[in-house]
Amino acid sequence: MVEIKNVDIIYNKGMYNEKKALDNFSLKIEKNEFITIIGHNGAGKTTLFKVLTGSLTPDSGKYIINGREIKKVRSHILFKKIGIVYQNPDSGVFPELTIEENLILGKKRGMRGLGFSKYDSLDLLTGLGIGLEKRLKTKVKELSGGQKQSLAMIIAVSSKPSMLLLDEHTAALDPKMADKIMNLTLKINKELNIPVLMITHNMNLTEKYSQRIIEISGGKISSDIFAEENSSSGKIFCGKNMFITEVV
Amino acid sequence: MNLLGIAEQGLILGFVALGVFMSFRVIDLADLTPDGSYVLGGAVTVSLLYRGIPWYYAIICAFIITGISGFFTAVLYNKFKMNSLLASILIMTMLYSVNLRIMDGPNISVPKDISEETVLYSESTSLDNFLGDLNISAEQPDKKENRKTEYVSPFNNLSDGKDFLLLLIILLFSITVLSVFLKTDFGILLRGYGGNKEGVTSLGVNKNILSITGLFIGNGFAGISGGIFSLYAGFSDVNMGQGIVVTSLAAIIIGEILISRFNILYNLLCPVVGAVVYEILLSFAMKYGYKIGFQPGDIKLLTSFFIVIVIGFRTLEVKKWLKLKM
Ligand SMILES: Nc1ncnc2c1ncn2[C@@H]1O[C@H](COP(=O)(O)OP(=O)(O)OP(=O)(O)O)[C@@H](O)[C@H]1O
Ligand SMILES: [Mg+2]
Repeated sequence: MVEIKNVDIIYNKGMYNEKKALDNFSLKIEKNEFITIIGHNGAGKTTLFKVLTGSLTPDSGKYIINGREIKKVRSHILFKKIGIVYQNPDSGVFPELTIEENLILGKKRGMRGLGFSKYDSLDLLTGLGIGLEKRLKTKVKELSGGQKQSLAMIIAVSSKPSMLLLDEHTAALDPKMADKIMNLTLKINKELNIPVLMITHNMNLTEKYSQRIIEISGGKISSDIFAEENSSSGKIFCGKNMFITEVV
Repeated sequence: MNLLGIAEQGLILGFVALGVFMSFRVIDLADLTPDGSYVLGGAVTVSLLYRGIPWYYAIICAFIITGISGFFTAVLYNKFKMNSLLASILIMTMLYSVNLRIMDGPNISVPKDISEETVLYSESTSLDNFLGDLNISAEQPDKKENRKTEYVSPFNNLSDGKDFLLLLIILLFSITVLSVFLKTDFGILLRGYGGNKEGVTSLGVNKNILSITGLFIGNGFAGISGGIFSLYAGFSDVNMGQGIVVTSLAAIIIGEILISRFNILYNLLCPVVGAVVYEILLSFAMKYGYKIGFQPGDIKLLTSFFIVIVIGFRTLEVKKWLKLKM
């Protein structure tokens, strides 16, 4: 379980271009949750991820992982517990290495192998059904964007992190590949029991895959709704304790 | 033309080319420190020889000390957030002064063999005798004998193949060690860092360690090269490193043209093969170039021009510009 409490992030503090990107922001991520984060450009979504990965240290507030408060946030240590995939497929893979070597690095996260042994990343690769498992000796720079992104997902989760962050990870992909990646995302969430936070601007994906949707605007949560399976009408989105929005 | 001697010089250049390969290719950081650390390697090696330290220990010390100069470049790059070029130029410039200090002057020659020092001892002995009955002469004889059996430099400069063999053995040993290292998990990480510097952070690895390691090894090999060159040539000079990075890049590029298609040993053989071919080409240019008005001083111009051309031809835009279809 990961939680942040009353976090403020202010860019360029005290300067003419001071900008409060997160305003007294609190969020609790339960075990195995799949949260979709939406919001207009500049709302503060990526900034939230930077806090969660320790790339930014909050000006105030708390950060708790598995019940323990993290006092000194050190990015390269937090990254051992958190997997992240960005929009750009090149940022999550190592182009000069082979597919096999990329998988090795994923497993050896932080060089300490963090006890990951339950799941074979090769199985995940095979499960994707795009034939990468047969090309283990291929250098990753020779792959397509979608193939790289699939590999980036597997690298990000193969050390069984406490949480997987996805920052518009399907934005650069065609719809078919995006679907494949989303299926992998769900599989990671359901079968590996890793909580997922996904930022997206794609409303189709949001409606199709979400359990909980958080909307951020101006550095604050402006709505937080849950999806419930309804036998008669499919998926229903409900606000906290009350029935609100649309039926899909 | 003495082909063996040229090949020997090529192998010596191979060490620094290997180091430059480590920084420019493996971890993909432009590092000019070798222009200084190459000399540092020579300076350290020769001055250690004067302290009676065997050449192989001196070379190992040169590796470590020049590696540390690479460490400082990495610190400027990591902690002071400098561009790696600026960081390395600063360290290289500092090394110029450091090298003058170490050599206590602009150059220093290798103590040729022990006979010079033997003379020194006998002189002091006769002085002692002259001064009277200081009873230390008993120690002198076996000191003499001990030192007489060791040659200061392992090279005989006879081009009889022995120097070549020794260089080849050290070089192949280094390549073997490096390729085994690059195969380990840490080595994979180092190569991964070359292609995606931020990506390793997402893996929970402190990326500073990777640039430090890469630049340490890169400059360490420049140091070995400078040290061996000094042993081979019989001197170390404060200007001998000038342009060594550019020369190494030319060697790497030649090697890549020739053998990178085979993709063996992480292309570690490219800088070495390239260096030997470079020296051969160079000696041809020196021998026959005068006919077309070529002067020795033009070498740096030609070498740099060669790099520009090759890099240019690899670039799509230049190809288009020249309307070539390759
Ligand atoms: N490094 C920075 N320096 C100064 N201001 C920044 C910086 N990064 C982000 N901001 C500002 O903080 C606010 C939130 O940015 P953030 O990147 O979190 O938005 P986002 O929700 O991810 O937007 P998008 O959907 O466009 O990716 C924006 O107003 C942005 O201008
Ligand atoms: Mg963003």
